[in-house]
Amino acid sequence: MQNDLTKSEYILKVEHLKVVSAQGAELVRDVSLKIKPGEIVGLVGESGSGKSISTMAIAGILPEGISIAQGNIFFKGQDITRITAQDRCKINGNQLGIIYQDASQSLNPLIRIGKQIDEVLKIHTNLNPKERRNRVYGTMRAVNLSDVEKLAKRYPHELSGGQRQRVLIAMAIINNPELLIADEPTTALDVSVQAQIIELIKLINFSRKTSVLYISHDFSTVKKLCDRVYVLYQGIPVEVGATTQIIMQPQHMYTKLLLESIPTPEKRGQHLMIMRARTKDYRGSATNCLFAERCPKVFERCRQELPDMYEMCDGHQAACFLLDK
Amino acid sequence: MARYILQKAGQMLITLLLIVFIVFIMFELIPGNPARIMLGMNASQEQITALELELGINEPLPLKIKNYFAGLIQGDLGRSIRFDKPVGELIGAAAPTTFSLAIYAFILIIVLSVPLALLAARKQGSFFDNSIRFVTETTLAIPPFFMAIILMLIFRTTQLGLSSGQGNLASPGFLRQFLMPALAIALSRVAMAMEFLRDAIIEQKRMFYTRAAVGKGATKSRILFFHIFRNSLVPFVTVLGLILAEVFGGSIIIEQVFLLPGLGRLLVTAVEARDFPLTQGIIILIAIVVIVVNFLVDLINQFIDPRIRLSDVKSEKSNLWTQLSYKLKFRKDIKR
Ligand SMILES: Nc1ncnc2c1ncn2[C@@H]1O[C@H](COP(=O)(O)OP(=O)(O)OP(=O)(O)O)[C@@H](O)[C@H]1O
Ligand code: SF4
Ligand SMILES: [Mg+2]
Repeated sequence: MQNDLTKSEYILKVEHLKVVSAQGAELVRDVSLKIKPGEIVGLVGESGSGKSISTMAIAGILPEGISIAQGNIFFKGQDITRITAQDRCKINGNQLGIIYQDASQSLNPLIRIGKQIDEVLKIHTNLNPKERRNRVYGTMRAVNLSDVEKLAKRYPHELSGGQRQRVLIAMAIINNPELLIADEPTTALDVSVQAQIIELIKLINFSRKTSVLYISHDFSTVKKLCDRVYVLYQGIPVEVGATTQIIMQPQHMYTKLLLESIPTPEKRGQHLMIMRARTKDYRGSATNCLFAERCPKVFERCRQELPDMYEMCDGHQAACFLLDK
Repeated sequence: MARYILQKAGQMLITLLLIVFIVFIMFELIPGNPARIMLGMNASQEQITALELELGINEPLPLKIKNYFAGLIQGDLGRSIRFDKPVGELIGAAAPTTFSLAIYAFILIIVLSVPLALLAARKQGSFFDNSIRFVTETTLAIPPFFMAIILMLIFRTTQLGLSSGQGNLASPGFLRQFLMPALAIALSRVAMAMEFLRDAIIEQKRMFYTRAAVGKGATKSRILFFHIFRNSLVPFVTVLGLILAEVFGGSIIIEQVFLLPGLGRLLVTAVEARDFPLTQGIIILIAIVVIVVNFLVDLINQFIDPRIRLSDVKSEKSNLWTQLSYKLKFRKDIKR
């Protein structure tokens, strides 16, 4: 890849990130990824592949007992892997906005949502209450919430799933962050709302020049939104490339499998290859291709070593020995 | 909101009337002739008849109930037999001592348990957490009257707590004078309050929204007070309600130990003297306190947690269930 670029030319640069649980299980094995300013990057992988844990590591909100064992995370050139809580407070909510996977659990059930959005402004700005209120309402309108004055006085449980997700988005973008991390923001929503949220993220990226790390478990939304995609399998990226390249010419067997499982009109009624959740335990560092047990083209070498990334062309890489020519 | 409060207040009133009614009937059901019991074995028939007439003992029950309630509405609880004074006046004289003592003890409970809970919850299972819990749980096993004796031994200067005069929160020297009886009542309840708050804080800390708040850039102290503490208050307030009711009971016993002229001593005197109207009056007052405290707990809780407002029936049930499950859980914890 473009190794000549300096660090700060990336909004986010993750290098060999390894996240382990208290019991020593490797939840994220070796993730490296880069996001340029203004880019929308997708992170795709099935359930349990370590997408959320990766984002939590980036945001510094890993659950108790889970910690970063190796690697570095650079945010705008600054190493934020082990920064102090104070420095973290300056970045989160201000330069880095996060939309969580489960909107209903990410809001405090006892606080009116207007106040919860306002909290981000209170923490990071010196605006007076009136200015803050206007900005809260403005941002709520920007994420297509209607009747915002009334809505601001409601409690999270009084909102629909889509509304809650929009509130979370409003909270994440209110300070115009340079990077927005969206962890499966559409999973809990029905299809029409999903499409609206995707459009909204696109718009935020376009109008605010916000870089986006978009996380999903399927390609159907990623392909509408992302410039580039990382395919994650068991805590390791197995394929990287421009979205169009990956969709037109997937190289890794796992990517092909993921693409096959997108329901399309032609495939309706056919048997779809169902994505299974990870069965093997993560424990211990990998010494073979992790996909070997599910790969239809597995051969001897796959069980002996872990494949490196092989570059096809211009940023399109995949970790599979079939590409070692 | 206003509708909810009105509804709750209505419920409270009905409960109150029911309680008064039940207490009244209970005293009616006590076997034997009250006039004879009061006057003792050596009383003559004339004396008994005279008293019967005075007390209206032989009137039909509905009329007695009607008279009692009619009196109650005018604040007339009847006349004490032992002291030959209106029951209301006697209670009015003794109540400030008991109320002051109970409120003092209650404030001590809060002042002691909140910081301890915050400290203990900082790191679950830490040495500090375990020590705090060990000490508070030990005090839980000590009944207030015994605690009072221990405290007296510790302080030695018994006159510090021995107060024979009237006292209430407003009178000078009260805080010092009542410290020992208040501590005796408070110490054994601190454990309960502390444990509830600590558990609630630990539970809230595990909630995802707490981590989401870190994602917003909120500082530790902001998260602790703006999010975690506030969200831990519902179980805490509920248990404080139970404790407050218990504290009133506790002060009745403690008044005996410290010879304080409160409701507790009045009640004991009334029971010993078979002074039915006075006993009745005190019991009704205690019942009123318990009901009002419950009402306040409900009100505060639904103010803290909007989800409780959702449906009154639901909240009624959930409230009871949280109370019960917490109580059971607590008992279980203590045994462990
Ligand atoms: N709090 C936790 N404690 C221990 N292990 C965890 C915890 N949260 C997640 N894990 C484990 O970490 C691994 C990665 O989980 P993660 O939540 O990152 O998956 P994901 O890719 O986000 O999946 P999904 O699509 O279901 O959200 C999984 O094996 C999961 O079991
Ligand atoms: S390295 Fe081997 S097992 Fe792994 S994806 Fe390629 S062919 Fe399949
Ligand atoms: Mg996830």
